[in-house]
Amino acid sequence: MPVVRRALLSIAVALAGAAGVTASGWAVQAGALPPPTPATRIAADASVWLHEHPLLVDVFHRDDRRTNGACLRGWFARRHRSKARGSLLVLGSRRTVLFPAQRRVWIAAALRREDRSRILALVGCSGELAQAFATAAQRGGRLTAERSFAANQPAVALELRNGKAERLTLYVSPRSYQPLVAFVDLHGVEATARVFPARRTPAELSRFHLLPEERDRR
Amino acid sequence: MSVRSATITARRGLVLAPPPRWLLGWWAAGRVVAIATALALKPTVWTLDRWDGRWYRMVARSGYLLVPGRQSDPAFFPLYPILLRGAHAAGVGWGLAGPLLSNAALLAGLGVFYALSREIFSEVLARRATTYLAIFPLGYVFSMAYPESVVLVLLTAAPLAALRRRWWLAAFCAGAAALARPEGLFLLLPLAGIAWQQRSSLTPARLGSALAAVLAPAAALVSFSLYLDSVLHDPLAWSQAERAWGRQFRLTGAFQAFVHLPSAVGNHPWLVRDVICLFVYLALLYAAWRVGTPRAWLAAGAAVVILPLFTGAFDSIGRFGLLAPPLFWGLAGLTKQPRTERLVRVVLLALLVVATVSLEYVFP
Repeated sequence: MPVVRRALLSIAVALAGAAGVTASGWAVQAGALPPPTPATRIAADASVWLHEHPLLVDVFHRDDRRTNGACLRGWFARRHRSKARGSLLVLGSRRTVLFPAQRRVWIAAALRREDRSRILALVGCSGELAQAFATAAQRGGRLTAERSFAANQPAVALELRNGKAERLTLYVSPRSYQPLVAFVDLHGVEATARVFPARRTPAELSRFHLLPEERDRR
Repeated sequence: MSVRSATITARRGLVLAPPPRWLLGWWAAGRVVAIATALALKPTVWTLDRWDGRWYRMVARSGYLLVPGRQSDPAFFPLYPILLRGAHAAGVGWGLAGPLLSNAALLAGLGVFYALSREIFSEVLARRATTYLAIFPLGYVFSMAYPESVVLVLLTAAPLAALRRRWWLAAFCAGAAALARPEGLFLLLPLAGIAWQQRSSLTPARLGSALAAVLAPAAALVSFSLYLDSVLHDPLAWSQAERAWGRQFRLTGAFQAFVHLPSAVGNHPWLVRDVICLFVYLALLYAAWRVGTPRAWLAAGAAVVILPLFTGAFDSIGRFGLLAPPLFWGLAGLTKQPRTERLVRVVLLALLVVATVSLEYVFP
């Protein structure tokens, strides 16, 4: 057999073999591993939105009261010049509360004590919402998605349940998965937030007294 | 020099004899020490199922999900979770499946490593190297829900099959190894070396199958990317997830790893373990060269040990070295005297206890 033909035969066999490894590798993975459920994918996409927007401008509704506010995620100065990662929630009356980042925001004991600010942070802070939904998506939490309507537009209701009495629902845009409304029901205590992912511009931060110098003055 | 030429390898299949008693004994000794120490820390199987084991279990249970900006599971390769699913389907609980699979795979891995070492070196050196691998300090990972044991089987079976001219089997093992850990990719170096040695005696079709085996690890990685693209719509999801774990290859990565070492050790003192391992491994690679390890194997071993540095960190280099067979050949070559051999065994077993205790405080 001429040298060229021998070489071409070897190359053809090699390429066919490599293609076989690729195809069989893909088939084994596709056959053996479960694909992510639509709910977990929506939760992941929504948590990306939340992750990319450290600042959420909120309109809270609780006990028939409406409060404007904003929540900023980041590193904040604490006593003894130390810094802590967490969420700074500003409510209408310029009341601010700093929530240190927690691994498990969802089952926080504070929720059971009906800590009003903590409950509002759960629906109005991107850090808390992202943590709750991303963790549930990754760990196979009880997450469901269904068609719904929120903020005067069609939406997907992403619901996370923890036991029978704890429920966190995030309504997201069906196309972009941008968060629209968050709702929480904790043992009968309910709160809703219309959330507006905002850019962290000086003007926006100043509007809610969230510029670093304003924060430090308090 | 105790090297046997690969060209005199007999044309026989990959039929392995049952593991000899001494191998079973050292496997059992190493596992008893590692598992007993781990259970002494916390008397539950979860001790062996923590750190990355939790992520592999997550993939096995729910498949892959990329959450950009967060640590996500596409950083963990698919073969081990697939095997975990298989074990679970056979009735083994999720917590037990990983350690059970890993410990059983280690026995097979030691057997294949011994057979491979015998093909390349003398019986004595092969036996010594296998013993050291069975009780190597970082080897407690072989008992955890980590894929290292499974990769060891495939990583040694592929070149063994190639040496015995079973090239399609070598391609299968090399592809599977790359689907279990990225280190599997470096198999292409020894496989290419063996194919080069056999090139004149192979028919064109056989030469093609040898080239397929060389390409198999890369082809398997392509299959992983295609799979991620089909389920997550991102073929590079694994690379993106690696970034969230702080691993990103840069040309200046190794330089930065050394520059940032003092501050990194300040924040994370256990990093000293991996720094020491790096230098010990480099010395063992030198010893492996002295004992006559083929160059392709040395290059693969060096890639396993040195390339992770280019992510800018020393983390886990100690564990990565478990998948570099030349290190154990080098150590075996250094300890030719029976007295030295006995001393090294005692030291390795003592260090295995210490290293297993570290499991409570730091990821391997």
